[in-house]
Amino acid sequence: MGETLAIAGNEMRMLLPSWRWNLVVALVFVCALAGSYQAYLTNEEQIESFGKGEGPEPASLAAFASGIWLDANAALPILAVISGFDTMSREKKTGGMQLLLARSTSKVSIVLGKFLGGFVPTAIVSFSSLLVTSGLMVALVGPFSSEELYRIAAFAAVLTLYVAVWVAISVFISTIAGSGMSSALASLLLLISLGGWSITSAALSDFLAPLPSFWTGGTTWYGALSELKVRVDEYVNWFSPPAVFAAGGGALLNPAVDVPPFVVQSRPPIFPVDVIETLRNIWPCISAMTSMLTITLISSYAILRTRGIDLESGRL
Amino acid sequence: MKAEGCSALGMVKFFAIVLMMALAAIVQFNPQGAYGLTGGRAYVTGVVTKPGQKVHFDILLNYTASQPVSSITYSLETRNLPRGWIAKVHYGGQEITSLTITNMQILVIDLEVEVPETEKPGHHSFLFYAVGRELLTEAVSFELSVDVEALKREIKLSTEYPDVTVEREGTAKFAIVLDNIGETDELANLTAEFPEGWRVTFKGQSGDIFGVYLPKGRSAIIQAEAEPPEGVAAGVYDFIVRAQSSDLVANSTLKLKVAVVKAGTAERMLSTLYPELNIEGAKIIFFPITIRNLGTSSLTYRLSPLSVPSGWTVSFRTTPDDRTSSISSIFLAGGESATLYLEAAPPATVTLGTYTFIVRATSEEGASQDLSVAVKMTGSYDITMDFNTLFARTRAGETASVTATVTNIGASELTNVSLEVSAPSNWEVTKIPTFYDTLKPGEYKTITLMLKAPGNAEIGDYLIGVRATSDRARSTQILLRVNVQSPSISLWIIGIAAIVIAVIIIVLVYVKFGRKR
Repeated sequence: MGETLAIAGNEMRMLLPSWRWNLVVALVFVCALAGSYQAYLTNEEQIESFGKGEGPEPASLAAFASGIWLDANAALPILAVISGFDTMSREKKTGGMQLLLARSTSKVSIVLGKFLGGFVPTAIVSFSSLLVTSGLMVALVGPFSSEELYRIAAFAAVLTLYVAVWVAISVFISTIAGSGMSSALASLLLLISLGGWSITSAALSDFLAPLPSFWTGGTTWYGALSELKVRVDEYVNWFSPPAVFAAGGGALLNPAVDVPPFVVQSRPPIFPVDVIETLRNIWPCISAMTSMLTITLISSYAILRTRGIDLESGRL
Repeated sequence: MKAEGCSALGMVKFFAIVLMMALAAIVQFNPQGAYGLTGGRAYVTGVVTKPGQKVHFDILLNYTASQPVSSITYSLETRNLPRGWIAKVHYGGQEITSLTITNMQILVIDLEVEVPETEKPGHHSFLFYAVGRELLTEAVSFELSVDVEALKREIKLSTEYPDVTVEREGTAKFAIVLDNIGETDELANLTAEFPEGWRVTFKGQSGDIFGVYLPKGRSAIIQAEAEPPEGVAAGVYDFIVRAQSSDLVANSTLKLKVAVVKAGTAERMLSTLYPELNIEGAKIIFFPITIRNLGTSSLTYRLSPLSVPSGWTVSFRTTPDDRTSSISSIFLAGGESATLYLEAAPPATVTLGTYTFIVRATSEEGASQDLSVAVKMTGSYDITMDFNTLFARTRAGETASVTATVTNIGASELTNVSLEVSAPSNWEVTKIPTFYDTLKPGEYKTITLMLKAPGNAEIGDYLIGVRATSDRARSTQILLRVNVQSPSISLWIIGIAAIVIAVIIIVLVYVKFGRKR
């Protein structure tokens, strides 16, 4: 435990003075400010529309969802990638890894320490950006109800888990990459491709269960293929952290969503859905992200253990 | 450790990373990347209608995506629609085939389905599809059904004067109205039951008739003439006139009476059932007038207005619906009578009061008779009100403003027009302006309501009732919903406190770990 925390502390001391990391932290807070302002303007328009009998009733939670989404889906995952992309490759390059192994440091401690070193500051920035957005929403839009506060707290937990998944993924890529640059490129490419995963899942479902345009609804084959197409899309989505997070986080910040996309509905929804019911509904999403985190960390450890390291060159 | 420098290679690497970050952000915010949930329902999924009619289904569509900036375009279509049926989708007053919905937006569209006139009664169902163009999995469909019922078939005979008096040598004439109040066109055959020796004929515009073709919703006026036999005894005789379709489904009967009297006992040459009418507001009035030839020889009668109030125009019409031709003279055979309508149209500047009209009928032999009718015009006062919004938001101690538009929808001028506001206690209500002296018919004006919540108002929604008032009319009450939030100062304090906490956390982390050892 002591080794793990020591490695994590060292990692944080390397990370925080880094100009790359500070640049993205600034990006996170700029996104929080911009998102909040945009959410405020949208809320004003919604008030106007609602008074004319159009559109949903404006709510502070909806404004918060709008304000935080830029951070949660773009800035914070990038920050998580920046936090972990060169943790292993830097050590290999500078010889720190040989030093650690020469001291007989446990490989579990190395992986966990590197992970925690990236995760803890990222989680703190994530929490701070949530506080900034919440504070701006309270000041500009209005206070949250207790139900809305519970939802924001649950969202904060899910967001922290999501950030952890990306830190773990970048640590894993850093473990197998030859250099920091290749690790950064691979991590960002993965972030981009998984970010646009719905295109992939839709394309895959179209490929595996094509629906000819000349077919019309009502026939047995059409119904069966439509069902298969939806199922394929659902299953493929489970492989994308952004898709899983968007489904779970989206449901938490929108009480109008009874069951998030691609989660199988087990019983008829009862509106308004309370936060406990939403947590039950999105439990598959939370389990999926926990699994991704665990599998990624175990994979990093397994690679470190099975491939070994050349103590002279530092190469795995 | 090698310090991070700003070498050319380092700069290239840096810009490559920034580019990748930008790409990542773009992909994240591409609408294609949104994970959405299409929702929708039809408020009514089954309707009952009749052939030739149109039915409407209000369909609610909403799209809830995980990213608030995303939107989706749905193709809207119906499938399995019965042959010959026509479906159209309307939104915002126009026909559409597709619709773009932004995130968290809820739209209600109108599906119009036209059932052909030839459709037989029965149950028909079809599917409505809204399929996302960008993502086919974003789709919603409903099964909708239409029960087609048989059309109603009904005709009705009526007359204003079912009982008439004739002299022994005269002919009883009835102006019978045949209405088709069913939903299909009808060809009605006319028959009559009458006492022995009498002769009954039906006359249309072209002469004697025994059948009438009536499109649905239309009516026809038939003149029935009952001619007594020679030497008929004085007394009351019953007649039954019957109209029925060839398949006997639609039919109607009308009972008539003819009182045969001795010559010279009929009452007046010119008469009316309603010598005085009361009306609200400025409208065109019709007085039914009966003119009788009291003699035995045929005569032409000239009709003329003798006294008409200033600004009014009068005409004699065959029916109230006939707005194209007016009558100036009428030919009546001996003993005949006819019903005409005196149309009286008021001037635009008419004021309240009683107006008397005198008309005269003069026979070609010089005999004349005057008839006086009157209309009493009473005022009509009505006012309505509308708001620019029914929902306002403010903070305790602050003011929300809404604008009301009051309209005079009556026929008379309204005075002292203002708003009556029922607000919770301690609320300050200011009207700008306080009132209007007058509001002419059809005119509208605006009043701004300033609603100030008390400084200690509890957070929540407040309902404020408002109605438009005047000296003579009041509108129905409209409820405004005002959402009161905490005083802005306290909210700003809370908000800034949250931000300060965030800054402190970040500073502490940097103080602890921000320097390399």
